[in-house]
Amino acid sequence: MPVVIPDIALSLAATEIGLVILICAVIVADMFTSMENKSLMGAFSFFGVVVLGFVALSGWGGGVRTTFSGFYVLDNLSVFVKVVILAATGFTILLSLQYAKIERFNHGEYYVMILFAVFGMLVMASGNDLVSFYLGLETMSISSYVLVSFIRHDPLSREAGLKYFLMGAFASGLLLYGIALVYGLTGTTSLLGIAKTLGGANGAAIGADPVMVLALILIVAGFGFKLAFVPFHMWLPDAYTGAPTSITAFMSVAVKMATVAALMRVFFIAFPSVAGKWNLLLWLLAVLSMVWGNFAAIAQTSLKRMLAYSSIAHAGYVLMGVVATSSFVDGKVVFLPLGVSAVLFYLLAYMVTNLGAFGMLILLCREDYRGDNIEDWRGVGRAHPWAGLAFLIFFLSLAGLPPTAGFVGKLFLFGAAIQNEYYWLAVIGILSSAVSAYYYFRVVMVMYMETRAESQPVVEFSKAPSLLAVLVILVVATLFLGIFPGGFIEAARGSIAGFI
Amino acid sequence: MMNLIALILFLPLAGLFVNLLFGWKLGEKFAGWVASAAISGAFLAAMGGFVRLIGLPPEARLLRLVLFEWIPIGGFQVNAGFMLDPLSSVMTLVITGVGALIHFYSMGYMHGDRGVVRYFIYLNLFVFFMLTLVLGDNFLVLFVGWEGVGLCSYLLIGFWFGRESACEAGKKAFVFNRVGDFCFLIGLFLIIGVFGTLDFAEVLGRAPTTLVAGSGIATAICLLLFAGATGKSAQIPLYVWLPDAMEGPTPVSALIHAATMVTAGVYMVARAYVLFELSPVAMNVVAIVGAVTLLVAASIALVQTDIKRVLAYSTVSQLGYMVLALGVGAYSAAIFHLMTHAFFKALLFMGAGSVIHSLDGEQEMNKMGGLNAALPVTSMTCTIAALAIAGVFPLAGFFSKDAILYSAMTSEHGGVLFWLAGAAGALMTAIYIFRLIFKTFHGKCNLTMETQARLHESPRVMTLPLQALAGLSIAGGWVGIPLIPGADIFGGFLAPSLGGLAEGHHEALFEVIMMAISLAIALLGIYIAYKLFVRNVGGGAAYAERWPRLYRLVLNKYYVDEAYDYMIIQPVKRISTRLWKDFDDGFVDSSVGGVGGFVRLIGAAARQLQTGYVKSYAITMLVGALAVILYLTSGMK
Repeated sequence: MPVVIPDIALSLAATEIGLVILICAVIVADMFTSMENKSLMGAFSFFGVVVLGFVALSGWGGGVRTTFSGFYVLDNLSVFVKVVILAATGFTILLSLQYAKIERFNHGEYYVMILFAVFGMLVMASGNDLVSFYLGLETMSISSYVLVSFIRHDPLSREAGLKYFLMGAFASGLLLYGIALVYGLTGTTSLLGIAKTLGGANGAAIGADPVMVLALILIVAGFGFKLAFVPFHMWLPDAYTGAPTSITAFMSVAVKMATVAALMRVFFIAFPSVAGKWNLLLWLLAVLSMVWGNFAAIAQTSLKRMLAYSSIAHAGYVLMGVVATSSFVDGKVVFLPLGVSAVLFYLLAYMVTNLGAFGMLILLCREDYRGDNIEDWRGVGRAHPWAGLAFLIFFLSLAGLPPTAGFVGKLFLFGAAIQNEYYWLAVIGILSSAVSAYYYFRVVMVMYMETRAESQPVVEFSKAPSLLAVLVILVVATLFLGIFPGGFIEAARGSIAGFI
Repeated sequence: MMNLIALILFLPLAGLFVNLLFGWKLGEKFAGWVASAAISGAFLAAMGGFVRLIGLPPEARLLRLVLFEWIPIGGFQVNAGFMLDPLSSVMTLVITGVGALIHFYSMGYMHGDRGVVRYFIYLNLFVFFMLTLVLGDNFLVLFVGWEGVGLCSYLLIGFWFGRESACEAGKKAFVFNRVGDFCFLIGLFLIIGVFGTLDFAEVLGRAPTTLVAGSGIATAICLLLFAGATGKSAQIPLYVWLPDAMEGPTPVSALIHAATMVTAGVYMVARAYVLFELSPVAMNVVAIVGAVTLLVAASIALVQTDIKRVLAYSTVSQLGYMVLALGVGAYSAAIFHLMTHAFFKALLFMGAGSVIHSLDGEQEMNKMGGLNAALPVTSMTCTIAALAIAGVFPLAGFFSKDAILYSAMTSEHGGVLFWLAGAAGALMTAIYIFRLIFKTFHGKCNLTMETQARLHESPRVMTLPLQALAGLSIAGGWVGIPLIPGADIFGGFLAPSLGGLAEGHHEALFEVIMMAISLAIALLGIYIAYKLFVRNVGGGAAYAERWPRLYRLVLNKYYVDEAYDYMIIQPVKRISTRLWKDFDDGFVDSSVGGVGGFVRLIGAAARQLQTGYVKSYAITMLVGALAVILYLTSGMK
């Protein structure tokens, strides 16, 4: 029996291969670094990630190329997603350098685990098969469980990690079961293969099979958990509050980016013929997430927890863009690219904004003082006008007010929803974002209009240059994306080339 | 040739940056002069733009500036584009002119305050956003300005923090404006949906052909836009934030809550008048809201005793006049009143500020009285402003109010009822404003001796702007004189932006009679105020005693605040707390506490507290999945 050696173009996976090399290098280097100098590992990882970012970027515009027997695809969409993820990683590492010392988890493995998670994300972005996608997802998830519980001496962090792990395992099970059912029905796990079977002669029968419906439900529920859509969101406030703030920031942007990209690829490529079913389902999840996330955030007193709820709502906005991509003509789905580009741009805008917002929490954090309650920000705006201004800009962007990245992002999303005639979705989105402005603004009021109580410790910001540099970059980026978004919108629109 | 639009826009921004970088070091005086010079420069540029427009033939009066392509999304594109046409020219002149005077005045008023530099930075930022709002050549740039001025106003309302009420007022302004902005945004998206663009020229140019007159979509767009205007311009039902906004420093009240920001809604409706013309229903709603607001607010102003609150309700009421004018299709009359109102209301606020300043922060009118002697300039200028707002010939307010009343009667959208509302409002206006004048500047002095001893007229930097505005309050109306052919310069100038003048048949005699009636109403109001508060001090109190219920109802502002609190604010708070506490955190509380019935219920799982509670998460997820299954199977068939 002749053995067919598949054509493997390793160069298409250059970013991932480079990342693995980087990981190994960091592990080895870590052994020869003393406890005091672990930050060097962070710096090392940072420069590696920057280089990899450029490597990833070089894949732009090369058309759709597959390798590893079609398990792996490189197109503009995956390049866009990878570059944003790597950028988020770079920022996260810089946010962590000082913070890891303060919270006493400054170990080399911390950076290694981040890089492992990133590896999973990159695989997800390129996964062209349910199996490769699932492998990426698990690599990312398991690393995240570890990262969430990384403040080992803090019971809150350990508990958060355990919960996240148990729920994550449960969700992975659901997802895997769904994948297995799809394989059983279609005989393949390749996204294109599934689409072919479902669109083929027997497609209609398979699509109407209750087992297929069950499979779709399981897959949606799996994604729903990973992205914390309501009602699959309950782990998130606990996990986000307990995790190290840098990891919360990282998860809220990078994990989301990778998972949303995978979600779009799986549903748009593999299941267009049953789009009517999953689209309504996602519609419902989007609405629930936007409404619930925003309303529950109002009542929070912990700023970190408030941002956790707000990230549920933001996941809802993103999902709105995914939903708004499908347009139905005579019962057949037509994907309109506007929605996908809106999603990508929004994720980019959210990346700079949310990293910045969590970065502000890290700025205030010092030993034995977490500073993650809303109360802790009393009077900061007046005493420290620049820090106040930075936080104000991040909040404006989160609330979707001009002239910031979040405004353009929301305009893009709502515009896409309106253009594809999802009027109710847009109205609910605008209404819930109007609600969100209230709780963001409450922090602004606390910062600018309340005076610090006698009992509160004096504000003392971290002086780490890496942290300050990141925050400045993120503020500028938030404004830049709001005022001159043209080039990035072009990139977001270009990234759908060959995708749908 | 330098681009005048860029100059108008960016001078305030330049002032802001200079203060941001150097103001903290160089101190209060420097910051004040930089900020004032920046706005004065913008005023000169606005004058330059005005002169340039005048030099062009009427139909070509339009200057444009496109800075860059802002948002290119598919077929839909928005530029960071600006334009100067007659309407925005009038607005920029008012904003920078009155704004510059208020900046100068602020240097005196805020003297010695710790946050002066910050104050001037906010003030310059505000002017920048306000100019963006009126100069933008599309709805989105307008919206940027719209949100920007809102933000500055919340920050300035809460400027004196530490005062709990200031903080609350800022929050209230924010929340009520969000409601309006939400509607406004949906309106914008509807416009995108219908026209595929937000450019004024395109939307307004294509509207008559694209939209069917009287169609539901036209009405929806107009009502949503107008809902945005009711938030910003403090009309029913969203007016309640404005009186509370008086917690801010008085010059801020003069600039933002009298002369400029609150008129943004009026400007926006005037700008989009073509859309409103397509919906008679919306026009009617606008007119009715304006008429009711002007009556309600004027009646509340009659009984308030805080000097700034009287002026705040007066502002709401005068904005009601402008909205009424818009609703009856008298757009240039609305803008005319907007301008004259900016003069005399800014003056009244600054006069009140001058009083408050010299009384060390006292705002209660019952504790004032007889200040005429000690504050001659303030008293004089305020009286001029009061005559203007009451509508006494030949001051500015007379002409603009008369234009509105005349249109309310004769316009095709108008009617006798609208005229009656306006006339009744005019009577109340004259009464409440002279009540304020008499109680503050005349009669017996109710101050303590030591305060009296320290009474002083405000410094020149404060009184000069008062005198300048007094001049404008007298003469500002002479650009819009009716009857004499060609004397309505104002309306003629605005015609290219707001449609041609209604060159209908003007019955001269009828118009003269109308003018005489409005003058008579003003004089009657002043006479009533004189009788109740000067000749027979306590006359007002006697009426209050005769109808105690009515008096309390009006004094408590018809209990609107309480109604909002009870019907909306409390329920929302309860819902959000419940969502969070009962649903999401119910598990957390029971587990983190490590005790409670939850554990006992689980029983066997008691030792594995955490997994037990994770289980409940899993159950929730399963329930979610089951709900999804139900949904799908029911939809499948």
